[in-house]
Amino acid sequence: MGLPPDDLSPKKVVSRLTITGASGFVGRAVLAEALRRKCEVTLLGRRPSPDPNVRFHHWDMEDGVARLPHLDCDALIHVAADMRREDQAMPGVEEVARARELFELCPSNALIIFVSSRASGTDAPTRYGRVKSQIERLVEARGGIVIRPGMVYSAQRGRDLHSRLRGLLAKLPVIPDFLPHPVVQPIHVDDLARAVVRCAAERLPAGIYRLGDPEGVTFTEYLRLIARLQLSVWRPRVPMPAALVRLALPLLRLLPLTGSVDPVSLKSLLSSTTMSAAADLAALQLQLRPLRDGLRPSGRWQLRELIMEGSALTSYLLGRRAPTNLVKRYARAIMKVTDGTPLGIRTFYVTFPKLVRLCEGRGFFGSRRDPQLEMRLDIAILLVESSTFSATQFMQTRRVHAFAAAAAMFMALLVDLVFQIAAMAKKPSIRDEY
Amino acid sequence: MNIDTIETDIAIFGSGPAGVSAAYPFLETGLKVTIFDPGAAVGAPPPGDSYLSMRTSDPAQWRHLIGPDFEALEKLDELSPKFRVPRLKHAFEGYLDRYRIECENAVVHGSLASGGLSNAWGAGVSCFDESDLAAFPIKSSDLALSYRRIAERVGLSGTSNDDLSSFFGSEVPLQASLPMDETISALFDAYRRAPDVAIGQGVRIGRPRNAVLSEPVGDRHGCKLCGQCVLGCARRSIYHSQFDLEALASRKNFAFVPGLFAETLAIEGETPVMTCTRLQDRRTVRVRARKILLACGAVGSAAIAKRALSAGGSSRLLSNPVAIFALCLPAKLGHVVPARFFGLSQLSFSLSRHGEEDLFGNLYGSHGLPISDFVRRSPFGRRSSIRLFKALMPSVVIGMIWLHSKYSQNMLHFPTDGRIVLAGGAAPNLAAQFEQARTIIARVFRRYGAWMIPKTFTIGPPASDSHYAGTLPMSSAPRTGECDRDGEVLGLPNVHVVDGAALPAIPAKPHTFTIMANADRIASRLAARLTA
Repeated sequence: MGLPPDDLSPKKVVSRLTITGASGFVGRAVLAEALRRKCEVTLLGRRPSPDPNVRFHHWDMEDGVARLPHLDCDALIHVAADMRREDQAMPGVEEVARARELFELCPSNALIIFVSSRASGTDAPTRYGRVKSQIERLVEARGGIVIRPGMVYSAQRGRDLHSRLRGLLAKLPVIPDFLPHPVVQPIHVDDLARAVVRCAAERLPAGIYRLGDPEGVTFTEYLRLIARLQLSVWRPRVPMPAALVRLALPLLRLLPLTGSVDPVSLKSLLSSTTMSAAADLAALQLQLRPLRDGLRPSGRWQLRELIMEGSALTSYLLGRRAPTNLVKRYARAIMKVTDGTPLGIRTFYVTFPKLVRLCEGRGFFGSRRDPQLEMRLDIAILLVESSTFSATQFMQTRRVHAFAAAAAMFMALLVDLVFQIAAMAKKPSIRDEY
Repeated sequence: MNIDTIETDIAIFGSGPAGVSAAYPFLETGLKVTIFDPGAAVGAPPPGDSYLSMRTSDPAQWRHLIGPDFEALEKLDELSPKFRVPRLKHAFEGYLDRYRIECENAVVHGSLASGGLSNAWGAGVSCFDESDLAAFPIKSSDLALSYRRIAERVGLSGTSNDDLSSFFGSEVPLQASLPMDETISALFDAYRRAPDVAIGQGVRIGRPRNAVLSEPVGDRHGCKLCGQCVLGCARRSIYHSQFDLEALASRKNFAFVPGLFAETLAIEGETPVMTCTRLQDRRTVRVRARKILLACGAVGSAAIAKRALSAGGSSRLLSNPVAIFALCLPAKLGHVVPARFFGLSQLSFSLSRHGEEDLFGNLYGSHGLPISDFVRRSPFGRRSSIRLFKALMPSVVIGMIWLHSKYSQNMLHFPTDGRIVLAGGAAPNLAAQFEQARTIIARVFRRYGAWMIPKTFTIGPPASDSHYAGTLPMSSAPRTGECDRDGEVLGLPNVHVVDGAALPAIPAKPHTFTIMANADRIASRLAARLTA
């Protein structure tokens, strides 16, 4: 997963890097990668790095370079950008001027690497995109490298666009399905950082490198994967014609749920076109990690998946939401008695556990059996039964009339019959196909 | 290499019911007796409260039912819940590996733990009558005294005045039968009102005979119907040979040496010598004795003896083919799980066909059983099945039936490389026999208001019953691989088989009590001769 091994041969190593924007989402990853490659790093920004080996010069884009010394570096990686809302950001010409000043502080043979954006364009609908485009021209004039990443994402939360989308999705009860489907081209922030530092350290040829998933995914699918892998929730999709959404953009700020949505970013998203990234990825020998792997929180994702799975299966058997300790016990049991591979359950069944019945391979009308699911349910039922809160579910502790008992049995079978018929029509799978 | 040597008068290998029963007669004569066993680690103590109390109020019940390491989940395919009990994992694990047993079309259970299979037995007991002993070189009178001695020591409960009393044998002391629960009691009452219906079909129904105390004896308490029989008896009401080991420990001429696994047997002159491995440090220990008694279980004892004879080859392993089923008494729908119940056999029955009683059965209440076992086998969705069985279970009775060992055709093979291969087999007409039995039983019980639940009749795999015998059978004219009426193996002087391996047949009856009595009989005869 990720890039092939870096070439660290002494002849090609350019070890002195100056980085701007290192406290931001992309900048942090670039700094980490540079340190991993044992580069000598100087930061320009408002906050120093806690690493004592990293040199620091205070630089605020609004103040200019008057207080900066001459930058003695082999390469300058310019990540800093004014990410504030258009009505609050500095004028675009000033930001471009700051960039020019920075470049002039570098030695003439220093390589300039500029992290731009897919939104870059002379006629981009956003200030952000237009500024990026102008700075790109400065970099090209210097014989530098421009990196245009697609949708940069990670598993961690921050203030980047991906994190804001994630936060919004956590509040929304639906996933908007924009029509026609806008496409995003994701790239994990660590993959981007490795590409950027490699460009600097190995002095790759000048030009514009477009980096992102060459085929892209629809924005709807992107949101669905965030919901599935990062939020562990299910959301129904609601079609939304993009034209109507554009018209309603000014109203988004007024609504409680969508107040945090940047209408400009959304407008840019709805308007962007697919960039051809395949050739540039090949030129950099860059292999992007799969989106589903990159979106998963690091660490014990298997345990999280098993807890989701346990929540669905135990809640189904119990007939109500299972308590946390039972769900965790399920996860521990699966890891103990099997190889621990999660089923990859669809979050739909976590939200509606009673519908797990549709996936059970039982019935009189022929049903698809998932042996793993059957085995997990057998394990789950033993665990569920061995608990105090299931005692009254599994044992008759209150005397009832024989007729009432017979009626309860009949209803149980009738309900099951309904599920069996429904399963005939739909034949769903418990597993997510992502 | 240092080798330890232990010398004793009587060396008994195996601490199960047979081994401890053989120890007593020798001890009475002053001979020095040592019992050896592999002695696997002891499990957790059994639950102290009743089943219903545990289920409704103990948040840690899953540790008893599933195990702290989820041991029970690794045995989902076990037919009997006894072999899934987590605290008994120690009793069964390692047995197949230690003996290097490979099973083909069979399921075998054995134990290296102290107490052997008494760690998880159903505690059913019965005397064998003359017809049961037809293939034996002994008569029922040879066993009578031993039966009484064992019964007095172990403590039995049962009835001596119902239709099954003569089946079990009526000349042993008995404590009162343990009470039946409401559902089984209703079934038995229906039988008592009209026994001819069953008897006309060859079926007799009566109270079981169990090695379970209904009244206290010594430091063992009478059963208080806590319902925890399967998980473990905290009151020591259910007989376990460990109780005898504890009682024997105070005798000066008795020693118990756990942790030794018997590997090879040899005869040096006329003296039998067992070479053992001490499991703790893998040291070799040699045991020399005037007499060596094999009580390692039918499989283990046969392996030791066969290899000592360099016979290898094969021998038949007798077992009682087993099946289970469930009955429902609709009149008991809506009833509740009782606060108190007995978890082992509450009612027994026999079936005679063609003039022979070749089938024995027990009925158990369903209350102490997890309904998960039923839900997992149900054709309906699990959630619906939970609702279904919750309502159904108080009216459900579980039945188990065993057939005469003549219907089993298991073979034990002893290749020269040290493995044991158990090839499960059955008589060609076994399925038909079970089907006929099922039909008769279902018809009889239906007349008493109990309906066999469809699709619950399940035949167990060969040897899954754990009633093993006949691998070194007694004979009046023993051949190689057999023993005489004193259990002495032909070709192995002073080596005697006292466990199930010595039984040449096992009728459709509980056989552990007879194994114990036979061990007592053999030991009594040997002790008398040694001290004469």
